[in-house]
Amino acid sequence: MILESLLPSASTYAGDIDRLFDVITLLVGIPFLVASYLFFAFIFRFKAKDGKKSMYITGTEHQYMKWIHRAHVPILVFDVIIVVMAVRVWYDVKQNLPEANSTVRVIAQQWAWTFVHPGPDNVLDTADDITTINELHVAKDTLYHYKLEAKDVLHNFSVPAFRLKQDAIPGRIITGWFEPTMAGTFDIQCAEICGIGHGLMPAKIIIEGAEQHAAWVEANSPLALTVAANQ
Amino acid sequence: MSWVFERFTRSVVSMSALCIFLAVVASSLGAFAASAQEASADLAKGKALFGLCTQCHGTNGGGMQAALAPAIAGLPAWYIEAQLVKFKSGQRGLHAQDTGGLRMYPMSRWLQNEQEQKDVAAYVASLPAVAPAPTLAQAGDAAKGQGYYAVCSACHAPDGSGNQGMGAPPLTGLNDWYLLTSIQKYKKSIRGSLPGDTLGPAMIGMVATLPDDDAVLDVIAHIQTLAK
Ligand code: HEC
Ligand code: HEC
Ligand SMILES: [Cu+2]
Repeated sequence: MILESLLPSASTYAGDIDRLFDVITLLVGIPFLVASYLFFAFIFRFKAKDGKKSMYITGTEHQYMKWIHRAHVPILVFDVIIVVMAVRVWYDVKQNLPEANSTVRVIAQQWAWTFVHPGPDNVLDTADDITTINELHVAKDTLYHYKLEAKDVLHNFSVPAFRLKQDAIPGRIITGWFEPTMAGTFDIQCAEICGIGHGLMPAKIIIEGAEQHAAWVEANSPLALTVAANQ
Repeated sequence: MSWVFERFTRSVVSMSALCIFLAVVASSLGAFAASAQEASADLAKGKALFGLCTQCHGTNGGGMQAALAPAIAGLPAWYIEAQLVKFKSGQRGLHAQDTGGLRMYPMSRWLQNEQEQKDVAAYVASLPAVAPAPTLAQAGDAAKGQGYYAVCSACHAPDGSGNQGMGAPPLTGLNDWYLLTSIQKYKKSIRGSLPGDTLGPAMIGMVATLPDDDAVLDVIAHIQTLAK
């Protein structure tokens, strides 16, 4: 509700992350406002007054301690709620790997993104793969695996509309997943400082309906392009 | 309570009016300043912009191999400007295998407009050309290279000084490692093959006249003898 008013949520798990964000904001925000209100209210209410002597309190009596003890209870309860919700979302987004309909390769380097799409045969690393720079094309309502690589230094594949962030680490191929739920063009950015051009490596993700995406794949497959060139 | 609200709205309205007024004044001043200097390049601005370029191309524009960035000091302004335009529009560098080009691409986007491209190009052109030290482990045969260079001289001129009419840059004052990677990139169609690049394809054809790796090293050795 808070995040979605600022940025569309375009993946299956974006809603879960937004809900977690809302819960944390409320669980932390409401007590913060109450505590701030009491803090300032008491300062004004009990400020020094002529002819009124202040009381000396050691703070060890039960009558005063209970305000601290009782406040611990909601803190513990809230903590448990946040941890349980966070672990469930984390498991779903990062640890669980649902069966994929399609797989794309995402390669980060100073300072650009290379995307390898599987092409018409829907298999990566074949002759009909489509390689693009700074432009990732995917179909709506299709579950994708991404294979994330870095050529030089640490980068981070961040798609704010998906609420997805994943470090890219040189020498490793990191597999993750997403499923777009909304057609449109959204930002991809690098979220790990990677040198002087870090802020200048934006890319786009273009989400289209299945048919339009298939048309794009047909038109851009290198095999299709060679056929066109030979005609 | 309504007086609070009234005073609040009144101050908000007057503040916004002031902001809009200031913005209009500032932008018209800016437009005036821009129109006054459009004609020529501003070396002082170019020098300020060059601060970023030094990170890779070196403080004197002499190039830095570790950053894959070649010497650019003293290259003609028309060529520098043309390359900045080509990088920014994706005619050069935006190839998945072009490690150096993909590093230069975002830097070209950092320059906001034609004026900035002009300013920095003029400043780089005004820098004294450097004579980069040889770095290649295996040197070619300059005498053989002279034979191969006969083709190149049609555009890059016999003395390697380039030819603006042909869009061909000078080859003197470039680092030998950069000549090598550039020729290799043309051979693999990593450079010169991107959509919109009108001058690059000719170079792909020209490097085909260098039959093998030795020929490439030979022609580079000859180009190095041209450097004064
Ligand atoms: C992050 C490092 C970096 C920065 C900063 C940078 N460059 Fe480059 N530049 C490169 C690399 C790498 C190449 C080589 C590209 C290639 O191999 O095709 C290059 C190539 C060039 C070329 C082409 C040279 C030729 O002979 O064709 C020009 C011109 C140029 N840069 C100008 C600039 C200017 C002007 C700036 C400052 C606004 C700048 N560069 C900032 C890395 C950088
Ligand atoms: C038909 C004219 C023509 C001929 C002949 C020619 N070139 Fe070029 N060369 C060009 C042009 C034009 C460019 C600039 C391309 C661009 O704008 O990207 C260029 C660029 C280059 C560059 C890159 C320079 C830089 O600063 O990045 C190298 C290296 C080069 N040529 C080497 C050669 C060699 C070696 C030969 C001979 C085998 C040769 N050229 C023959 C027209 C020519
Ligand atoms: Cu990065």
